[in-house]
Amino acid sequence: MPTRRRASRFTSWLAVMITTAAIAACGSADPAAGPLRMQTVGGQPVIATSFIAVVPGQTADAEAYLDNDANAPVRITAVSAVSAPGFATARLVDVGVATSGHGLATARGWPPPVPSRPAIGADLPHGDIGLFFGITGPAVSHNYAVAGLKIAYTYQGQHYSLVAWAGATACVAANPDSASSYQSCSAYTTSVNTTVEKLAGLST
Amino acid sequence: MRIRTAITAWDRATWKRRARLSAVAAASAALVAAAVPLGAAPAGAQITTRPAVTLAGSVGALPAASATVVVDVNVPTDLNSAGDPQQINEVPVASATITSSGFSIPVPASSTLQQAEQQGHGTVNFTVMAVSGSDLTAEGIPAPIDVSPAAANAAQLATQAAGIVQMPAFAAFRPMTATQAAAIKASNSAVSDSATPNIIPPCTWKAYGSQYNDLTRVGEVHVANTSGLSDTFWFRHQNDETITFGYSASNPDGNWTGGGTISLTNTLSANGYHTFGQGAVDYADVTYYYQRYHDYIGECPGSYEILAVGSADVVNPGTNTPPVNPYGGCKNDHYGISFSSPGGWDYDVGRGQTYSGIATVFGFTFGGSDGFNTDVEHDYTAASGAATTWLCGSPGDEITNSPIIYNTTG
Repeated sequence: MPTRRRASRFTSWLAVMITTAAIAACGSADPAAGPLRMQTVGGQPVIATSFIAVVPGQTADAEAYLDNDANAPVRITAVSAVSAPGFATARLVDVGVATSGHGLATARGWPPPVPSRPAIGADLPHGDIGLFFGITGPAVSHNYAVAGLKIAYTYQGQHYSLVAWAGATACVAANPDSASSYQSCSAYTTSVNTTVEKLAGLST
Repeated sequence: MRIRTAITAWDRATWKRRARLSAVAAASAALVAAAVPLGAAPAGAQITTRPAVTLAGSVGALPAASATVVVDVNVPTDLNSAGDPQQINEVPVASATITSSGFSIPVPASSTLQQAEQQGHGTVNFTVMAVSGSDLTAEGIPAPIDVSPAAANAAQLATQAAGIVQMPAFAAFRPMTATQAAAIKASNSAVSDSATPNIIPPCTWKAYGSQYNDLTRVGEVHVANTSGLSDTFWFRHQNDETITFGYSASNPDGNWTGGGTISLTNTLSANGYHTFGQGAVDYADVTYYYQRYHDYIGECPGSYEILAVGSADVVNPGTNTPPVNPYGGCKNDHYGISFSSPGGWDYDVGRGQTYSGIATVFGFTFGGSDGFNTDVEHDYTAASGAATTWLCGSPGDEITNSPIIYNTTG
């Protein structure tokens, strides 16, 4: 098991790789035409927006809901954060694929408290997939958010990408268990959620 | 902007003239393929050859050798200050003569249909009425015709793409009342004296008595019995509520029979919420407006009709208690999800639960579902210091595909 410092270095390296790979993966002819999609309910994308207060350096963990339409697996090559306009963009620290069926509403620290495996390079089989991600921000007493994830992947040798809307807020606080940080985080996330709903087409 | 409608005497005369013309054609065709659209629209209205929608189904065994099947569009009109119709005109827009139970009737585009679409935000409430000999049956059904993609659910989009609405089974044929028989006989007196009429006249429902408000079940809430946990249940009425309605042959206070389903088409904006606290296991109710209507002439499928006509923007805890999580805890559910504090989980898209007894008004028990929708939203929060809990859906369902969300301590 890695020490906290080694884990920190590793996550920093991973974040760089995630971003770099995301840029490199762009360029397929029709990147949105691949088989990986957001899960839908009644034709509408499944979206949950979550928040949690964290100490500096700790991740706020959340989940995006995906669906592989193809009978063959797709391979994730890169994941990057999608900004929520008007909000400080959180740094994407790590990404994992659910392995047990259990999912994640909110959690603090990486890895999340339910079984997962690294997402980059993972082959995702046909069906519903839970993609866990951890975000954070640099400054204490500040809130950071993402509107979702941009996921680059390959399927049968072709490169594709997908934006999966999944609002998440990391409220960085010296004392995250204080009532004030919780209330501030909750109010902030209400605004984030409104933005995410608009981006996802759930509201106007 | 709300659009008001009234069928003028000119419209009615036009309809009768066209109906008679159509009846001649309908009488010459004995099978389903003979379905003929009626010209319900005023002169000048554009009627295309491509049907806006086709209604198909079975009326059950015919009491006579044939039956006349008419498709009516329900046009709410004379709206009160709350936006609820004081009159509903059922305007015939297509018909067919059938000799067996099945029917498939294309409904052409028309100004009447367009008006109903606008009032219903793309969904039109149809009534299909069949008369065979001296018996009748009818069934109401909402049909999505032009629901915007952003507001539509998958079933609505699929129906719109296919252009066909498959109707559920009709109630058994029942004898017409004397006034119904007289009204239909009058409509057909100039055309035919056969047992089965070729024309079923338009029908006008007028509000009977006062509007009645009643709490109506729209969902349920489960909150773990842990300090600091809560769930705010949001209800946004966006014309996705499908609800049953009833007919009564003689009594406005009872003897109701199911008439099918309608989609609420009120244009009121309803957007309410209620926060349920620690340990809540409650139904969530919303105030619905119900109205009885009376057919004073005898041209409608029943003498009285009872409908939900609108909803308010207030969510309240309902009576009784829903069943608790069947696994004894969401951690035991294969699809359970972990929920830590201090934080929140706001689930934007809910799949409505179907309830059979959402309200009982004037002796009629309504059933309904909010369908697949963006109308129901759960905002779970875990305040500072709250223990980690678990969330899950109905047994076998991922939480993202479940009409019920449970929250348990383990």
